[in-house]
Order: sequence, then structure tokens, then C-alpha cells
Amino acid sequence: MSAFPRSYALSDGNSFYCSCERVFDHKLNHVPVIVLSNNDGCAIARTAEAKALGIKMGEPWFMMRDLCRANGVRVFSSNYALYGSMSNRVNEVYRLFAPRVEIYSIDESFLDLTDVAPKTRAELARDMRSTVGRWTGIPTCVGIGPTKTLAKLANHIAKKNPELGGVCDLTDEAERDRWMRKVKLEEVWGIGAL
Amino acid sequence: MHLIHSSVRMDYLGPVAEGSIILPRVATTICAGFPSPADDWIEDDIDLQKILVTNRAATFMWRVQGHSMRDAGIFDGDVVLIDRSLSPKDGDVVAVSVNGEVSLKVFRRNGQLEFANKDMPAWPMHENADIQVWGVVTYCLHIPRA
Ligand SMILES: [Mg+2]
Repeated sequence: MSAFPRSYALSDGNSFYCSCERVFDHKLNHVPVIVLSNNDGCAIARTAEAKALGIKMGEPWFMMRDLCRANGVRVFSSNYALYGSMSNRVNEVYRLFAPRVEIYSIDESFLDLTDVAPKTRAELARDMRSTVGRWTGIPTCVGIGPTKTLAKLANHIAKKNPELGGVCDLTDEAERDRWMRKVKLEEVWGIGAL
Repeated sequence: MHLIHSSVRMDYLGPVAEGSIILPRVATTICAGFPSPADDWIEDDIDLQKILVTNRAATFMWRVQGHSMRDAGIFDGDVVLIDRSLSPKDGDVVAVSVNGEVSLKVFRRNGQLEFANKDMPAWPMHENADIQVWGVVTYCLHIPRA
């Protein structure tokens, strides 16, 4: 039994497939990058620069080809061997920071932070985030909350508010209420569906 | 040959797979000169993987193309293991990204980067270049066969 109430973190790779490509080619760092699904059907990963051009998730390649050419978007076919290997590395780092890591998808994992003192959780998350960045080159965002759903919400807030430095901790109830009033809940996958 | 005056080119090969490469340990050192009989004993088997890779999450294998690291013992066609978790020290061979192009250089304490080939002119480090240390070379795999 832990002395603290349950706490989870959701750590998620930013534009994960695109970030994997960027690790090995820094020329991609400040340009729009997208990764296409199998057979180059549609966009399945977009960097912030590509999103800003209006490229939508799942948009068919033939519909955005001209836009991509006109704006110098770097387009990649998916390379799942690479993404899987980068995902393994990132999870290996997570395991150094949390005893229980549940891999939720190729770029999202839940970490059990129950044994970490509430006051030091955000600090641990920042430390983990910078270690993942240094060791693997993958940028991440971390959301912390008393349930997995709230960790997901916190992750969404961390992603949308760069001034938070990639970490959002909703453990504190007052802090949680403050953010809940600001966030459009339907934007957060898994909450909007409820 | 145009490559002789340029940085090595680097191709990412992949991660180091999980698992072990077990070899029986015969001697701690193989002497290139007069053999020392004291070294010649059999101990536990050794795991080559454990020797080569101390941090698997941060270790990447790249193939080297070019001749600019020759004097550091890194030759055209060699495979290097690069650990991104290490901070470079003076004299380390590092992978650097220079304007997005990954190559190898010798790292100096003052932040200078150098070729390791006395037959080449000094590497021109341009002031406005975007330079990032990508990782530190921990091992070089060289095939000595003719
Ligand atoms: Mg993601």
C-alpha cells in the first residue's frame, strides 16, 4: 500500500512518426513534415508546421499533394520498423522513472506514479521528458492525474499550452478545476465520446 | 577523390537488437607484441553485447563513409556505435549534426570540432552553422580482413 492516492502519468510522443524521422535528419527540424499511411494513402502524422498549413489527420494524399509541393512539406512513407524501435527506446527510459509502464499505443504509455510524492511528480516528469529527449531525440508531453482519463486530459493540456514546458500536473484539485473550465472537453479523445 | 577533403557521411543502420552474443573468455588481453603468459586463462563466458552496449535505449548504429576520421582509427565502411546519453569529453569522437548533416568529428573542450586526418586541411567550422552534438562514439566495428 502506498501512502499516496493513486496517480497516473500519460506520456506521449509529439507528432511521433514525424519526430522519429527528425531524429536522424535535423534538416527536417523546422519544416513541415508528414508521414503517410501504408501505400501512401493518407496523412497519419503531422508536425506543428504541417498542421498550421491546414493538413488534416487522415487527409488523402491526392487531395494535399499540391499544397505539400507548394509549401515544401517533406513527405515520408511510414517506416514501422523505425517507429517501433524508437518506441521501445522511449519505453525503456520510462521504465527507469516508473515501476509500472502500460504501453497504450506506439507513442502513448501510462505510468503509475502512485509511489511518487505528489509534490515531486511534475519534477520527475520534467526530468523524464528531458532524458527521453537527450537519449532518443523524441519530444514528449506528460500529463499527470489521479485517474488515467485525467492523465489523458492533462496530457492534452500540456500539448496545447507550450508555456507549461511539456508537463501538466492535475493532481491538485484547485488546479484541475481551473483547467477544466478552460478546456473544450470534446477535443480530448476518449472524453468527448462519453 | 573528392571525399578525401570532406566530412565522413553517415548512414543510420538501426538499433542494437535485444539478446546476447556470448563468447568464451580466453584472455583478457590479446597482445600484439610479446604474449604475457599471465593473461592466458579461461574465465566466465563474456557477453559481447554487454561490453559494446551499456545504454541500449540511447545507442544507435551508423555506417561511416569517408576518410576524415582515419587517424582516430575509424575508416571508410566501419560501423560505429553512438551513445546519445553521454556528454562528450575533450578528445572524444562525436557524431555532430552540422546544418542537418550528420558526420563524425573529434570534440575539443573549447567546443571546437576537428577532423582526424593529418593529410586534410582543418575542418572549416562556420560561425553561423547550426551545430548539434548528436552522440558520442563508444565503439567502432572494423573489418580487418582483406
Ligand atoms: Mg502522439
